Amino acid sequence: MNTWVIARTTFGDSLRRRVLLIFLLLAFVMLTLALLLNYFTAREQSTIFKSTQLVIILIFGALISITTAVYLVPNEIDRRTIYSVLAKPVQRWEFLLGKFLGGALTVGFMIGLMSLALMLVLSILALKPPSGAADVQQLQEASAGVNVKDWLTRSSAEIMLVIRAVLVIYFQLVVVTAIATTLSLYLAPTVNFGVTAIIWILGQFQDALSGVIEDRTPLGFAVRGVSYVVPHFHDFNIMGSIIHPAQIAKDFDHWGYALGVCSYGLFWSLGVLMIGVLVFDRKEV
Amino acid sequence: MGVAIKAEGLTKRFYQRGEVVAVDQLDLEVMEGEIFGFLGPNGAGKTTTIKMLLGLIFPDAGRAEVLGFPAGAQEMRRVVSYLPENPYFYDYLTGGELLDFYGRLFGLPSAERKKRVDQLLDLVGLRNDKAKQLKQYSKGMMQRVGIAQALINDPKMLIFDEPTSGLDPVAHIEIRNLIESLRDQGKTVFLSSHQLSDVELVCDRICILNFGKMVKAGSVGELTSQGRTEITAKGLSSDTREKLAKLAGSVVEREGAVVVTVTDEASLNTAVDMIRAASGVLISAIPLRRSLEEVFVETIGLAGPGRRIGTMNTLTQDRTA
Repeated sequence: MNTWVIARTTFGDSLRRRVLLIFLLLAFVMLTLALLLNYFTAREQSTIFKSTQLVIILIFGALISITTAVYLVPNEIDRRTIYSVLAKPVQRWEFLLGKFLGGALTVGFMIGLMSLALMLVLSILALKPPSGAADVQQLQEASAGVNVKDWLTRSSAEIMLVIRAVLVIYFQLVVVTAIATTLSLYLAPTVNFGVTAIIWILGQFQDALSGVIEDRTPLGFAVRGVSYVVPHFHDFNIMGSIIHPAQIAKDFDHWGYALGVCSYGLFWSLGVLMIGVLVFDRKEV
Repeated sequence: MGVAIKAEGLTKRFYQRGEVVAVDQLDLEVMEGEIFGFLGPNGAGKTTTIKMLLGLIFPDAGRAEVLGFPAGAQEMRRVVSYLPENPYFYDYLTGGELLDFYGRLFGLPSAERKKRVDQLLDLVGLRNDKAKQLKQYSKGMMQRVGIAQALINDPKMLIFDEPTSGLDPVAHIEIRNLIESLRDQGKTVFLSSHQLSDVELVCDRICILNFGKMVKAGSVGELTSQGRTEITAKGLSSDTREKLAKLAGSVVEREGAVVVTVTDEASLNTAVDMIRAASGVLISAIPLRRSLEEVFVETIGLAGPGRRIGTMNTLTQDRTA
């Protein structure tokens, strides 16, 4: 109960942070710019536009989650709000989980807004035939006016793809938020920002690093160590199945994979937070 | 009257470019229902002690109990409240929302919370500012809402760290009266303050801390008493004046009256008997007191080499807590 009370207050507090609003604004600018780029065909527009937009959401989402999480606990200590809260019958784990949940809610709200914008644009783009001017029948339909049923089918398919992609992105960012929240118990915000960003980037390139893993040099051992410690953020990359769903094997369970990777993120977050709870329990504030 | 706070050998060390003993073997006993003044110069270890009592930091040695619970225990925090020095709260919340937030942390039901919030805002004179965001509050208003949040759970004991810091004189008096009214309600108040005049007026007992050690403790009366009484009388013959001078050492004439100062109770009784026997008029017999400020300065000044008021370099070098 206390966790939720603290989460709600943290959410309200975080939403008023100017730097997050600036990131959100920048993300919207980038999303709009991507829409204005020249595309040769409608298919190209759909694929390149979608991938660009999802990358923008991921990058700005990561910036927002790290920036939010690195200040969650240090701000409370600096501003001394933590004293009046922990002097109440609030368990320390409730406080830490509440802060994390508030941060995760903030990230969810921010990428939710970006996703809504993306869904809106994709719905508008779905007014056009899906594969440019190649299909004569569709061209005729397009010139005859919008077929509402077809449009609804196309746009809802696009929206479901975005929901799946954003869900996976969100759970990836939940892991990032958990890591930054836990590290904030040890590190100053600026150092924490750098460390969390490096962990996230290393996790993104695990595929590239795996080539070095077999190498029995000190570098190989170091990379192997990193690959054990760092969450597999690369597994959260489902861009291929979002942008070119037709090119993925027909029996591939898209939603099953997405939910699986979300569960992986959830377990990772809980594990990291458990370490945080143990540390915070004896931390002097 | 039970014991509200009992600390034995409480010790806290910090390690910042060497070891600093912030609180050193502190023994403390605060009785239920009293206002206890916790005094000391900056860095004496007052806030560190309070933090240990609340479980915000942990002692390196010793133990403490608050209202019969181990310091920092969850059960203890249900019946104790704390107002930190220069409190900061989530300033996007309104005064009403802030109190509601703290009420939720105590698990107060919605209806009770609403009633309590209104009562407390009335009590601290912020009823009309209930819907105003805290960022629009003045420092005095912030301090008052801080006191209100400390009362949200109707605590048995309140720990105030500099509650009147930065307040204007009127607000100052209001807060002082509020603290006195809390004692009248049977609550224990642990008051850490630099406002010695306030402490002298409201506290039953005080202790003075310096460099983490308790250097003086007792009731305000005991500590400020000089053990001397000034007697003023009129209508005395020169013979009686001479007798009084012999008894007290000297006699002073002030505005047509005779003023004599005695140093013990036996002399006081003898002097009063002399005045009455001589058919003089006894105008007053007033025990002489020092101000708490004088006691404080004298105590801190006598605390040890390099620990006198005014030696700021020494003070700032050593004090980190």
